[in-house]
Amino acid sequence: MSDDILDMLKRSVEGYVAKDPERVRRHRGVFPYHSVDAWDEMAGQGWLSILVPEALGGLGLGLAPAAEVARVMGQAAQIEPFTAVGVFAAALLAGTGHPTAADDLAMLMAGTQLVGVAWQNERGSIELSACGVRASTTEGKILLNGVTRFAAPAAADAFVVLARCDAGLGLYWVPSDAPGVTVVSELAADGSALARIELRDAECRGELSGGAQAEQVLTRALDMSLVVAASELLGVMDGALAMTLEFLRTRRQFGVAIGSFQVLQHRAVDLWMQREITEAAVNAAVSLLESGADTPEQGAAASGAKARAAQAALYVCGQSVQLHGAIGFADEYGLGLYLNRSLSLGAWLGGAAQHRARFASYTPLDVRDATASAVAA
Amino acid sequence: MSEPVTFGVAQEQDWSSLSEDEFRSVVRTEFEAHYPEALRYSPRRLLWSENGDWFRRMARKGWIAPNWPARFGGMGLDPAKLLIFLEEQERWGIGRFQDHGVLMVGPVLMRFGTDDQRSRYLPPILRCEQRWCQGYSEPDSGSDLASLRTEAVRDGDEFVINGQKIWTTMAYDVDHIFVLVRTDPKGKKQEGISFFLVDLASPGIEVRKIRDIAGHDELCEVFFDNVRVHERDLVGDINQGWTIAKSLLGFERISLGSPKLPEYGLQVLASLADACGLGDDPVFRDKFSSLQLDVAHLGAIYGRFASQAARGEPLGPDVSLLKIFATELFQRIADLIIEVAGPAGGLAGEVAMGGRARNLLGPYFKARPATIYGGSNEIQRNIIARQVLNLPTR
Repeated sequence: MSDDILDMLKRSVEGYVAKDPERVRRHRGVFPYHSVDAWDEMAGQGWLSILVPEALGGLGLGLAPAAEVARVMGQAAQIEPFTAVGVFAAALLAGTGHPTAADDLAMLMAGTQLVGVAWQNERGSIELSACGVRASTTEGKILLNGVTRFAAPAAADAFVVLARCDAGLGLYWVPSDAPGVTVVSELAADGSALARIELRDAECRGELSGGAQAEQVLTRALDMSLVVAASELLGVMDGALAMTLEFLRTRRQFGVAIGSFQVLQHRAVDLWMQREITEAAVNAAVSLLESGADTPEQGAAASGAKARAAQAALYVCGQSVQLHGAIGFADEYGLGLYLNRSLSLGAWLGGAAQHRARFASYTPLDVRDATASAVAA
Repeated sequence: MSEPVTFGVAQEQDWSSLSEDEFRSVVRTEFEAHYPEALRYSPRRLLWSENGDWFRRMARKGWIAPNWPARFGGMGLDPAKLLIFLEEQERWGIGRFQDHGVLMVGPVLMRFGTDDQRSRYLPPILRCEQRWCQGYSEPDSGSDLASLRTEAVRDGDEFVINGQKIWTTMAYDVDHIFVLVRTDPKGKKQEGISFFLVDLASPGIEVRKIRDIAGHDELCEVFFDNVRVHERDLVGDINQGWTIAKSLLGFERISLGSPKLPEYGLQVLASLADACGLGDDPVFRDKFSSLQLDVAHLGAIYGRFASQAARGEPLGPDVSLLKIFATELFQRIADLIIEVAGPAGGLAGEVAMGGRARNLLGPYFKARPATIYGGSNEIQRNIIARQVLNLPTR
């Protein structure tokens, strides 16, 4: 049964991409920064339910199909916030196990409510404890204060906000239009946007999750999102590389196809290698995260995959422009859609250097050296 | 299980009945219990006078040819267990001996050889009485190997070989060589090459050592001056040598891309950085974690090809990426070792630092030729460009 669903899903994603490849050009830079019709269609096809367990009304298909959807979206440089909403927010709401989260999740899956996750501080740290919002309880009311930034999508109807509280960390439901909430869009390179949210005594209806559970649930949802974003970046690389290889085969200068020049061939091989290595890193991380129980290796693999994909995509897309020459720099040509997507997606949730550092934090320096021999002091 | 054994000793058990974890544990226990400590992680290739005892022990045990079928005296391992065997060897720092007989000559004779050749050559290879080197490159034929000019001319039931081979590893420490020679100077260059088995004690052969830039004598020149070889030592048909040589590339291409050498480099780098007090230095840590990530992802993609090989599927030209990525990564790690070592990075041999001695230039000199041998990385990139990416030739 689930094979049929997967197959349907795959066809619907490919169909969606093929139907209107120019969609991104109409919606970039214009609120809500994606096609509302396309979003309805995605919801109707069940894309936003992939990761949600069946008990909560979802499809319960797991991480691999979600990564596959994102990869196909990346191949067409689409900017609909599938990963931000269908993975990050959906996995987070499902993970809290909170009764009101289930209702909000149902609306998220139906496409009637756009939900984002706001967890980073003003300077974009990926340390959860560095989050920029503080929750305090006064006269039985929970009030949020502070600034959180880089939340996607900017047009969200509501955000799940991470805040420090007396129990450590907590997750809170914040509608965008609630009193004390100011949401400002910051435009990203690809024409999507991230939200900067200022909270001034914003009253919140209750805590979705708190303490160690909040941290664990958010870490899990973040790790899944990192892997899916890496998979989307893999698709972005695929798209740019396909255009570039075709160009090298057909563009003629000096009477020959420029792809016959060895220096360009070797450059193309280096791009392709980074694509293959990224794929292996993403697949390994997907398997590890699907293998169940939370382990530090999962965080390391997820950050490792994101660091790899962010760096590789930027390299592949940047070099693709170079291999094309001037035409690669023209917006109409379309290669720029990939480069801009790799810039935005590569930085979202933390860039390569940040995730290398997180990877390193899980893998301390191993100073046992079997090749060294002891010497007298 | 009780397959009749044509050559060598019978296996102590049927390895296919063990799980991969059980097999790994058997191999690891054996290596850790018996391999001489002083020979672990040698920065240079060991001489037969140094590691011969260990490999003769392996021969008596029936473990000298893990890649051969049991009926020919090998361990009869499937590809997955063979990789485990090689991984465990490297993990314990067990240097290879001049094992071209086991790795190349055996498999070639099983596939292309005659019964007579198998019965004359396989038993002494299994007993380590015959050890082999590979005579491929020539002074004017490196990357363009098929242009080789060392020639063999028929004279009755013998062939007379004249010419020169070069970059032959450890030719002075072995007793036999397999050579690619030209037997037809006309027509397409790949179609005039034959594969011969030659005793290095034959009159007319001279071996000269080449001192390398690491100060080792591992490479040699081998000169052939009217060397007579009987026709029964021609492997396969005449002019079929190129096909035979290519058939040997399969396993080599995956082993050259193993993450083991970069992992070893990373280990040296980590302990050296610790000794130099750089463990918490943020600049070093970012460089280190970047390399660490490369090693982890090399492991992921190596796993993809290894399991393809373990399922018995042929490897495509895309496997070249393993060799390129692994060897260039090893060089970047070796470069950082020298950078981190500061003034000690220029010292030869074992260097004391933080209470331990390490050969700091060991990884550097091991990494240097890795991008050249086994098909230079430039040639590997040509292969991928043409055969995987379908880039045009004109």
